[in-house]
Amino acid sequence: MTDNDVAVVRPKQRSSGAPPGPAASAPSPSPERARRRTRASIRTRERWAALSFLSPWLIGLLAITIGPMIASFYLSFTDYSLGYGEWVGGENYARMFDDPRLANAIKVTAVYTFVSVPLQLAAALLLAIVLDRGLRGMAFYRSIFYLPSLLGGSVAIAIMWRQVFGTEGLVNQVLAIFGIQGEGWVSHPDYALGTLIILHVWTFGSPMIIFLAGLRQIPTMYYEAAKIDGAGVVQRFMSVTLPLLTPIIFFNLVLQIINSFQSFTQAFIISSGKGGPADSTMFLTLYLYDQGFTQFDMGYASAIAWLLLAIIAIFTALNFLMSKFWVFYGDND
Amino acid sequence: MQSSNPSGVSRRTLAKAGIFGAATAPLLAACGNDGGGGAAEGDGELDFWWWGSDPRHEYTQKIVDAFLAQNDGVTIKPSPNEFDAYWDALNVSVSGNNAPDVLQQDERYLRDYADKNALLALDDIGIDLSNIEESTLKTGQLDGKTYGIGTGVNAMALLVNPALVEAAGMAMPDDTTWSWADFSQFITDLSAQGDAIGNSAISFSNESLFNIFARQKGESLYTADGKLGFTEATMNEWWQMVLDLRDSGAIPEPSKIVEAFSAGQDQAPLATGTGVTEFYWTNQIGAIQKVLGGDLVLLRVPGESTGVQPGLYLKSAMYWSISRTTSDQAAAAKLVDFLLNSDESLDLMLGDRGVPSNTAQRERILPNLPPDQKLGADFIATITPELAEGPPVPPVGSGSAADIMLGVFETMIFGDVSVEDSTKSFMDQLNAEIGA
Repeated sequence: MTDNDVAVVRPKQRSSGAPPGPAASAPSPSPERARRRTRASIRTRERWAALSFLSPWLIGLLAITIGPMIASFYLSFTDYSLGYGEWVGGENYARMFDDPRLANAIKVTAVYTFVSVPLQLAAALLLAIVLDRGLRGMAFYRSIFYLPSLLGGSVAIAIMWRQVFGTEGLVNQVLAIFGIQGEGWVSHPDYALGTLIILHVWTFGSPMIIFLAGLRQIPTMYYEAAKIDGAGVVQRFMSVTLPLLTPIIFFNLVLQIINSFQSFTQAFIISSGKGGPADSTMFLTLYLYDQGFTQFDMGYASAIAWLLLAIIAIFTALNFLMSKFWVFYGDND
Repeated sequence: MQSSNPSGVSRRTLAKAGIFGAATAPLLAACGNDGGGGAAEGDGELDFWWWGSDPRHEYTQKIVDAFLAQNDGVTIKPSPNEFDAYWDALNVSVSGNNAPDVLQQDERYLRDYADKNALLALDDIGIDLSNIEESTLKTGQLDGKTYGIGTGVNAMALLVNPALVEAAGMAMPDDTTWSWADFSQFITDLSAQGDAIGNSAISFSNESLFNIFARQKGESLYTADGKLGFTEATMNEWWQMVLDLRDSGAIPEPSKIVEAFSAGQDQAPLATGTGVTEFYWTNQIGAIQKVLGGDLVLLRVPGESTGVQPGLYLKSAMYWSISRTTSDQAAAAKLVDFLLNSDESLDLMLGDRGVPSNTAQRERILPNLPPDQKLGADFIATITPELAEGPPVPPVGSGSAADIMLGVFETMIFGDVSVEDSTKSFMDQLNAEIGA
């Protein structure tokens, strides 16, 4: 059998509209059956080929995603700690209702997400619109603005952030020029979360790139038509750009909310792994880590991981539900 | 797709099954838990873990080399680490049934690991304990069995930078008679009259220092039966002292304290010369003096002679432990014995892991200590006759006391909660951890 045969058989398969399912189930004359068997065996073979090409990823998925997820789900019903654990039923989940630090962690994570994501998306959209104008050296500016996205999650930037917002840091040195005596921003419970939010907003590069791509998709004729009708810059943005961009905004929103619920590195580094000062940067992920790796309570930590999953799932579902009321798909009408 | 061999698919399938099997076998193996003890006749391969700084890593490696020179058929894979990272890594490796054979342990976590059956009882596996101080041995025991052998002892001291005291135009206080009020006055004056801050306040959230304070009142952090052993009034007094110091400007503003705390020992005010005093364990002196580039003076913790009893005690700096799941119990025991009792080991270790718990070795090396370690050793020698009986071993779960106290301290100094609520919060949280 040659490549050519396959290429010929494939379209036939599609156009004939052969019913899916085991070929042998249909009573048919023997040459037809033979052909079907050949087709079936090609299908099987192709399936195996696909699977074997996918296998590096599949093995990864099973061994380092699905496997640990199942293990963690099981562990969340045990008091697993340092190699030993017994089944405790729903105790870990019941314990959540009487844990003020967990309640605080949920609050901190929620504040972080619902303040930083809108700000970040607004910054990304604004920059995308500015960059969409085709300035000279556009590629350069795009790269510059995208850079923080690549760096933002890194340990080095988190350490730098700690310095910049420290008592003797850059921010306070600038403030000092104006005669303002600054705080130790990262080490004050009222401001520490704020510095993390600023860090998150600063990494607006990846939603910006997606917005840019979205803006390019809007046909210029709409703008021309709006212009002829006498629409100003603001009106063109509100009536043309924004509605046509809603699917992209929605996509970015879903992605960024999920991302920020999972934030870990920055808070971990900036607070030296303790979520401090006074639990003010104690994200759910950090609390999970603290319970599992510092307090030896893997069972409870696993339960918190599933709580986090549930929270993210709920917000993503809410997002999709609400999208019906504001997301406008041009091809729907 | 050229394939004339009908068995091609199945061969691929087999290969894939093989790959998949290889990938999952360790996972499945990790799920199995034989629950048995360490192998007595082992493979001679030891994983050896410790935490510390670079100088410690270097000399420990030399000790390992000396041990290997005397023991054919043993190989050692050393894993030095930094303190915080060490505990995360250890937790993961023990949880995954992949524990190191020989490891360094700390008072905070020893009992947690022993209680979870992760450590081997060291009493009858051929480690010579005859020269180890009885009081030190006791601190590594749980239910009458030894799970960690103290490497050496430490004491807490107030480290003072004499140059900065002089610069502030002040004299050294008499530490044999001074009270906590004298201490407060001393550091308040230092802050007011000098350029450096009197005390950097990173130890008021240290449960060991509070334990000394409580012991001076005839109380203690924990009782012998594993409950909290101090009264609310004592802790209220402690927190009130901190707030008074904050309000009088004796200690830095709260956000600077937090900053100094997370900066670590090398960047802390005492080491950088921006703070005059701070409480540390005696084996930390050398490292701090090196960064500071100047000499420090050791003073007794305040209140030693003004309370019901002296509160200072000798603490085991760290412990040697062996995992229950060690692949070679005999070799592991030999290594621990070598670390504790051999001349080669102690000649290199000197006082870095505390003044040696092996009394014969202690006498032998004391004259040879470098100046910074001698400071600590002399301090311990001076205070030892004054000491009251040591505190009982902390209960299982006490490892979280440090983090809890830090959290309570941070919340309080920013003025968010009262002294009484801080005490209550600390006691509630710690009670929950130690199951009292």
